[in-house]
Amino acid sequence: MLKGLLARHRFVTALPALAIAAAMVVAAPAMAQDKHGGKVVINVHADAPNFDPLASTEFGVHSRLGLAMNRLVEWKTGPDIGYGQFVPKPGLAESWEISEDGLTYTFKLRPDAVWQDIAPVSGRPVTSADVVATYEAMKESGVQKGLLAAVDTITAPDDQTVVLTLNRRNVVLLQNLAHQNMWILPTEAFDGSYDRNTTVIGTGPWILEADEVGVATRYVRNEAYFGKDENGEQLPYLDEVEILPIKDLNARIMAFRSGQVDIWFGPLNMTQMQGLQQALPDLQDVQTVANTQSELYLNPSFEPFANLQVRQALNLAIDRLGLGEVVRGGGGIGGVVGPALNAQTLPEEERIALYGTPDHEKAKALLAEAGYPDGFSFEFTVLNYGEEFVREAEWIQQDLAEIGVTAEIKMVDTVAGQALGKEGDYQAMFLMMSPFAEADEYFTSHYLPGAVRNYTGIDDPTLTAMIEEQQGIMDVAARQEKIWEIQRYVYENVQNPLPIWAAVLLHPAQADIRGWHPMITQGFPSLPEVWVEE
Amino acid sequence: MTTILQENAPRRGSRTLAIFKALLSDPIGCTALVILTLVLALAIFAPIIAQFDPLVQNRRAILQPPSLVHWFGTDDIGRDVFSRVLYGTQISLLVGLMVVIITMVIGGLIGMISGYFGGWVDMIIQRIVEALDTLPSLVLSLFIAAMLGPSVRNVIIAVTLAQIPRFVRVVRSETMKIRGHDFISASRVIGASPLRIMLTHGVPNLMPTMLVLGSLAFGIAIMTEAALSFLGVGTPPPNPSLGTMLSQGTRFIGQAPWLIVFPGLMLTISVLALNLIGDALRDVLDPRNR
Repeated sequence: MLKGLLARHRFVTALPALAIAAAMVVAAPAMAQDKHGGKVVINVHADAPNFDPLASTEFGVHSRLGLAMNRLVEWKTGPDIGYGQFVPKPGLAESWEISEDGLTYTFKLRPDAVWQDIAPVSGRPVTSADVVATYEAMKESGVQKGLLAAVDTITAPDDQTVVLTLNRRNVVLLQNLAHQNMWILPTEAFDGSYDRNTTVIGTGPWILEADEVGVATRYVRNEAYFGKDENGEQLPYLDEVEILPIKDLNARIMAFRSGQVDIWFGPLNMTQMQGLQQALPDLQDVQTVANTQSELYLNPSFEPFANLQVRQALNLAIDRLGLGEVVRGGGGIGGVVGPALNAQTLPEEERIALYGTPDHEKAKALLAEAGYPDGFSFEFTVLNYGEEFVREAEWIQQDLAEIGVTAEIKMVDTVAGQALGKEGDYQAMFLMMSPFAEADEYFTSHYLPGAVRNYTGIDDPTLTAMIEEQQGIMDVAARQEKIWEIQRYVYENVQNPLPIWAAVLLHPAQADIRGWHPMITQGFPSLPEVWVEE
Repeated sequence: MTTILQENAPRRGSRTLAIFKALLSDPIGCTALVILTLVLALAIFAPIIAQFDPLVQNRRAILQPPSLVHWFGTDDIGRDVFSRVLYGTQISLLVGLMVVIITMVIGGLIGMISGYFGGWVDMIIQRIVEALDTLPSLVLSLFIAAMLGPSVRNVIIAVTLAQIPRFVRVVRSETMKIRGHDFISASRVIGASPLRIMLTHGVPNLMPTMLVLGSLAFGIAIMTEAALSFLGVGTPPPNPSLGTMLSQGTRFIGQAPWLIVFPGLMLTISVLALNLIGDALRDVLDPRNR
């Protein structure tokens, strides 16, 4: 059965690649078509309460700002790049250099980047003063200030150069500068020349033409945009983009079915997707793995869970691949670092070997060695993240019953559950991990003493030292090795929390949309290269 | 509507038998009683009738349609729907029964006190009841259940608290009617305590009304339990509940309609039977129909 599941699982995970390959083959004869022109409509299920990027982390704001603004460093997109994989790409910075000690970052700005032709900025060139003003304001009062915590000084030796000096090494600084909230604004945004709550002036591919709350946000092409495609063609391809704030899920589904919406954004489950496919057999079924995963926390203050062998036994009891196929219908097997971060998580084969190979006999033997030959019972607190998540809990409950461990499910809402986690007031807790875009974020929040998600009270000096060490490794390959080493160490010595499953994310698009690659970060980074086939 | 029991009234046992006989002679009442008895039998003997453990997942039989092995098919993690419907009915009937008993005792007592004593006692009780009555009973139950957390016990508490005001109001008005009769004045004159008067004269005279109200409340309680479970604050997983089964089945409505058809049918039949019994009881106990 396991072999069959594995084969099916690989087929499921291979589906996106197949879909993309098929799309490329279909698209090949049409390569001669001029890609410029046309309009695309996207649904974003929230309005933007304002347009000040320093004031809010809401996706309704930053999804919209992404069409009109740029960051210093951007996320590369494409068929070969994973949904959660950060590959830096020049944004407003044309190039950058990092000093050998890792404490100085020097960015050269694009000479061809100009602000959109909106008063009072009126199309003037972008200068280093704009970048300095933006980062200084963010450091002082922006919601992004944590991302610049390691930055000591921000200077501009000339109009085209920005230098950041750090007070400590920060291996994820480039990723922080490419964070979804790190839009660069003109100096006029900070000297009172215009109101950033209502006016959007950026350097991005489209100009925000109109925003009607509850109706639509409309954009038109920015002719002065600096972006070019790989053939040197001017970007963006699309003349117009419209974002519809459809809040009701069924209304969104109906809008997509009727062709009113071209690109789907937001939650959608497999059953709803099947309904869409029945109505639109040609739609593009773009699937990615979620940048979050379900996790089982085992509180060591409950006596059996203080024993590593018991935690190992529970890990061996859970049939994750079966769970993923039956309950979620796709996705990826969990790892210490989630599978969406495909460059940092352990290779899939290794994750399957560590977490996806249940062995009930071995699990029972481990329990017996730990002094629980007849099993034990515990209260299994399950946060209510929806029906499929609860189904995962029921699946685990039966797996544990197979080795004689009785889990009594206790449902709590998500806010109450997180409070119980922080207080350590639970025996075992099943919850959804916060989304992370970097392994370091996961390590520091889960395993450092006193960290926000260290619900199991882990205080392992060796692990702490390993986490701090990887933060200072500037060489990409060497750091990746260290990140893998940390994950193997956690598997061998910590086994807490137990990673379970990362669900599949569905991003359907209408059949005539080309070049669409959903990414973990907000702002639709692949949209400038999206085009509509005739 | 109230029948006054006096010295020449038949004894309690023979009266209950008479009500039962009258109910059987009513075609609708008789049919409803037979259906309810069947449902009760299915629920009570679920451990004997069900071929499968309602909690055990058969992972080789996911979403199987109804067959000779699985009469009502299987759900999305391979559990036998027939067994889950039987055990779900058991939980629904348990909730309904407990709600009716507790509501009759507490609501009846408060209503009698309010109606018998009147004055400021009545005024305070009625203002509290009116305050509770301003909220729709489902919303009140939902609020209480969400606050207490999902469990069968909490569902019983939530539904009971939402049903009590209805009992209090009806029992109060009936008590006020009974209080005005001569035999109550006579009891007072010979020195009977309020407690004795309420127990010996109030309760027997209130029983017909309480029975009708109780049978209707039974159906409402089952529906409310199903609604709370449907909304995720009722019976916690993996325990079967008709409402939870309906809620989970909606995801597969096109693919596996048996997931909602059978629990839905059981819910409809049970509540319909209870409502018909309530109607028949009302007819049987109404002196104007004699």
